[in-house]
Amino acid sequence: MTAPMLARSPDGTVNLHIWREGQEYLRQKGPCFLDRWNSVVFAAVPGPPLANTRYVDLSVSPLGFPDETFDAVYAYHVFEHLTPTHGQRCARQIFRALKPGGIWRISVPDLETACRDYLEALQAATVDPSRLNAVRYQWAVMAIFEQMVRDRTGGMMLDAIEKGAYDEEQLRQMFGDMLQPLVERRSGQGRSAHETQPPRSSGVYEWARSVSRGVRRIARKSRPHVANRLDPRWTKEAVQWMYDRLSLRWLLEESGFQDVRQVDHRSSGIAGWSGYDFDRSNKGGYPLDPSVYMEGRKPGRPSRDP
Amino acid sequence: MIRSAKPVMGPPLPVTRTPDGKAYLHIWRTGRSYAQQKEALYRREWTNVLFSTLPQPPAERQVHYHDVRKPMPFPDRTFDAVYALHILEHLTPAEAGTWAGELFRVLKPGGIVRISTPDLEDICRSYLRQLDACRNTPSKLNATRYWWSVLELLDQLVREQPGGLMSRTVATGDFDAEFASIRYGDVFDEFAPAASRPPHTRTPLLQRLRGCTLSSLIASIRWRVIEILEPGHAARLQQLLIEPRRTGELNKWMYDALSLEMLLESAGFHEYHRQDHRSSMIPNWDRYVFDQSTRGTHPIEPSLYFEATRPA
Repeated sequence: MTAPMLARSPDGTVNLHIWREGQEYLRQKGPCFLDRWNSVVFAAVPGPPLANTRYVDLSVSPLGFPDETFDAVYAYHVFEHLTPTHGQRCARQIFRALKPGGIWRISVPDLETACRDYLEALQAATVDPSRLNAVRYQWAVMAIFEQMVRDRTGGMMLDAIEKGAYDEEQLRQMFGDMLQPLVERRSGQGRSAHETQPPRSSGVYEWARSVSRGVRRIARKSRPHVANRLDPRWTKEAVQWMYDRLSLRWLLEESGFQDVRQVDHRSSGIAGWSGYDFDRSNKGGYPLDPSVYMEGRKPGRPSRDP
Repeated sequence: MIRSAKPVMGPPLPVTRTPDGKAYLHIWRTGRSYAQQKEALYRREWTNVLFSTLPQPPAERQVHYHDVRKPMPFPDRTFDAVYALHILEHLTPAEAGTWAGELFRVLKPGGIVRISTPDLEDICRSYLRQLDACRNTPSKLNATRYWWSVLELLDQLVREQPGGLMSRTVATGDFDAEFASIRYGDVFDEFAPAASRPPHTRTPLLQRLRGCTLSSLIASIRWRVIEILEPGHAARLQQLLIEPRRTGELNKWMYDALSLEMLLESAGFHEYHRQDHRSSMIPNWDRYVFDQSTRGTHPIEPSLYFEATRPA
């Protein structure tokens, strides 16, 4: 196996960033990680080429790096898209790919927060059945399991946004900036000047959408196995499991990590973290994608540069 | 809107009547312990529909297999009461809306619908309780109880194999039987490790022939022919028969008292009442008490029980 060319951070560390997708995440944080970190994107098929990036289907393929390669690994919102069994396997591979003393940071949506928010919203909607409370309640239910059961991209969350059935404050609280592109698309605010996405002509866009819808409809009838590619389970969009601070701690400890601790969206044991700041929204101090964040250290003394 | 959906249904099925002349419809999907305890009663006095997504099992006497995502095979205003037992969570919200409209249609005015389904609120509370307990007092017992609560919430939404992680957890023995029986009632017995279960027994030939109809005979011969001519195809079909997403084993949504009320309200029902496993507005319920275990006063499968009435 030829030694792959790996990106180095300015401080000389070699780091790996595992993520899945999310246009908002890439837009905000892409400039800061693409040239300094190595990326593995969890995807069923390769996507557009990005700097220092490989596309790997982690549910069937190994991570694919030699042992003791990285100083730090950050797995951002990937493990909830793996079954618990695949998650355990992937955690062991991350352990192997880390240098002794290396740090693994992981973030996933928090099942505990989702459940507490849900019970609160249920209580509020039962006591005061206003439209706002009903909408907030429905989103709180969806936050627990809608991404597990959806059978098409976007699922009922997208339907609700398109119908305008959402409370923006709650969306920001639950999903940070992650659903903002959808909300903006609906409210037609367009993109603000500092964002780089080219404006698209809505006529052409609408036309392309209706063609793609038509093709899909025909494909679903005549070639079910082709249409399956749009199945959220196939595209890895579907959530396969949810973790909280306890089960996440178990995952790290069972794969051999030490000093496992819960951190927040601003803190990390990874060297030079404030320079990357993956988890803080560029628009403010709040989390970009509210999660439970956990870090662990691979045992062993870090060997300083050869 | 939902109610006026044109019923495209096959020939209506025969309706069984109770001794006092009422027509009651009973819809369920599976449940070994439930069948053992209540079968004799509902087969004799209720009209029975078993939710099956595949046109597989030959019709048995008094039990009609039907995909409830299609229109109910009964004329309008047929029944005095409907009891749908653990069906709702196996439908997507969109399917559930149509289905609730169908229940409304087949009920007589003043008729009662009873629905039971796992209670999302209760499951979340239990999960958070066990999480806190396990964090405050980390012990093996608390850990197994916490893990069971997580499984209860998530496993049936995502499993890819029948039984999912839950039956694997039972197989490894990492569970607390006492806690699991409180949560699952008599149904937990069905999870007993496969080893202790008797091997698949074949129904005696005579009994099989007795339940046989011409169409089931043809279906069974056709299946044998497929098996011989196209073994690959037969194997694929067999796989489909157990895949949770196809068989309807997977949960497609979960409800609590509030969302159940919203669902029934949008289908046109009124007068909602939350019930327990013993209470009901259905006349003569004392005779049936389908949800109470015959071994005691506890529920066969702890659930959310909810009733509503079609306006007269």
